[in-house]
Amino acid sequence: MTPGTYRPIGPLERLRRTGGTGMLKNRFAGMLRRRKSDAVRMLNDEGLSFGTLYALRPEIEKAGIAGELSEKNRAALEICGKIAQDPKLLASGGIDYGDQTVHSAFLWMFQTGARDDGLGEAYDEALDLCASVLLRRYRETAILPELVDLIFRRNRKRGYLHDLIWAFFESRDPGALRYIAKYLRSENARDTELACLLLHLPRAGSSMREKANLYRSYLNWLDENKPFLYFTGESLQSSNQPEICGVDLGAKYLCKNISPRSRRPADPLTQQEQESLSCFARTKEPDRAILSSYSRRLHDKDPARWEQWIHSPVEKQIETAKGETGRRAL
Amino acid sequence: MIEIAGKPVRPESLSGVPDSGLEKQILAAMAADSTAFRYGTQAELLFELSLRAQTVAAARELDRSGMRFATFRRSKCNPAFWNRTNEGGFRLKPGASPSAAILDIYRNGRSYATECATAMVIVYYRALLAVFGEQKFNRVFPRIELMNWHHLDRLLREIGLMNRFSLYLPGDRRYFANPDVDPVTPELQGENVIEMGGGLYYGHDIGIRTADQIIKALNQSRIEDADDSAYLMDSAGRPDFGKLYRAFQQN
Repeated sequence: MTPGTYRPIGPLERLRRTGGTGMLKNRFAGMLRRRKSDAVRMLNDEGLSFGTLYALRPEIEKAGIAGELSEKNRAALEICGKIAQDPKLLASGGIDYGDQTVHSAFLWMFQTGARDDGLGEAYDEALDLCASVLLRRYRETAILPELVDLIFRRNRKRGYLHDLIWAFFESRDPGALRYIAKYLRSENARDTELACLLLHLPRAGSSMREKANLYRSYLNWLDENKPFLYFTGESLQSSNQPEICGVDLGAKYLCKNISPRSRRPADPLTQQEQESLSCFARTKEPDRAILSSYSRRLHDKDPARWEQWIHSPVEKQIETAKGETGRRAL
Repeated sequence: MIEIAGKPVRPESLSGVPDSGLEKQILAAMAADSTAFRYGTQAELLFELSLRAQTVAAARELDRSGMRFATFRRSKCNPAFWNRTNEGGFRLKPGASPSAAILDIYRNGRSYATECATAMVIVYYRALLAVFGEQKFNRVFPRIELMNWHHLDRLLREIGLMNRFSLYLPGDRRYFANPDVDPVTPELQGENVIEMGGGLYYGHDIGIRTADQIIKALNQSRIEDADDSAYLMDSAGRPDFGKLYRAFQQN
């Protein structure tokens, strides 16, 4: 659900929100006894959320009404059933991912269900799995802002986060790092600590001014490096301080965008670019950082001068870059 | 290359190196590498060799323990020694003996189930217990939380940090990444392993295998449109042996 999208609240939804899950289950059981068709209609109401459907799973099963539910609800229940039994049942061939109803069900489960995170261990596991399927299989990057908010809400509750975080980075979308960055300036210490961990930044200072500075400098850094970021393969499963995204200094030096997934250039390199890159690779590591930063800034500011500079001998490039960087010419 | 107190040392000149093959193999590999392995004293070097050998032994023992694999959401521990945390980790119960709790995992493996990263931490604690002895271990590690690379004791922080080395040695923690894993099995996004020597690695649930065998197993859990194979990352989590040695000396 994109921010600001209106979603109606159905009668069962209202019941759970006002009276809690216990009251919802009691009233629903009464409905089933009195008039089953009303209960089915309410379940199929557009304003039903995944949290409510999930809470009523045992009653639906007991009453044998699953077959009367909408396709989307049936798909959601099938997904939940498989997760409860063994999530591996949803691996290749376990469900038809090409079926639009299945895709819609995953999306609906996450978009309407994220607000009820914490409903139970199995429920949270279903949310985690929806997020990873949506991002890895369906490339549903629209869920990223909501996913980040869910990660940080759960972090405050000290719940299990790693699968959600892994799902987020499976999007391989460097631009989405800004959704995490906003938590750098949070008043909550757990938020800033997690944001620093995920963005591979040193721990932020505790004052709001320090946090705001860190946020600004990170966004500047992201702006400068986004086209050259790639995913390193590190994760919270492999490291306690993972550098999940790295800057490809060679790409930055050539000012050539790369694929964040494969680290390959978006367009093939010309012969001349390949030669420039070979010279660049032979320079010392600290010089490579200086050259790539200088190149990026000069390319943006004065493309004609950049053309001259990049075609000059690499020793001359270093000399110019060091001289001008020292004088803050750029 | 090995240096003790700033002087190069040849392996054959060292006394007190156990005759068991592994320590000698590690020593020979260190001596042959161009990187300098520096120690203040011979005792410090012997401590590292011993801890590395015990790490390999602890990995073999855990492989036979019967401890099962489970995701953090479904992890399981013996409540007599551990409290299961909200994140799925195991926290030592107040009043429980740290050494007895670690040994219980090995003796009652069937009562435990967890992911591969936590298994690595268990291996290191078991190795430290073997080297430190029960009393010293209990003094140095009074609070233990087992949950992959997070909430690690400050003395073990480095096993959770991945760094490149010119030489990887038995007792290092390595990682096989599986970039195209099926999204419904995020637990198979990679495999944490202990380098065992002889081209073998121990991974929880996967057993003691070669790199090719581990890669083949991980590749079986990829998504249908996978482009990339699983691979062994060129990095390792390596204990700070110097820091552990100082803790050993001071307690």
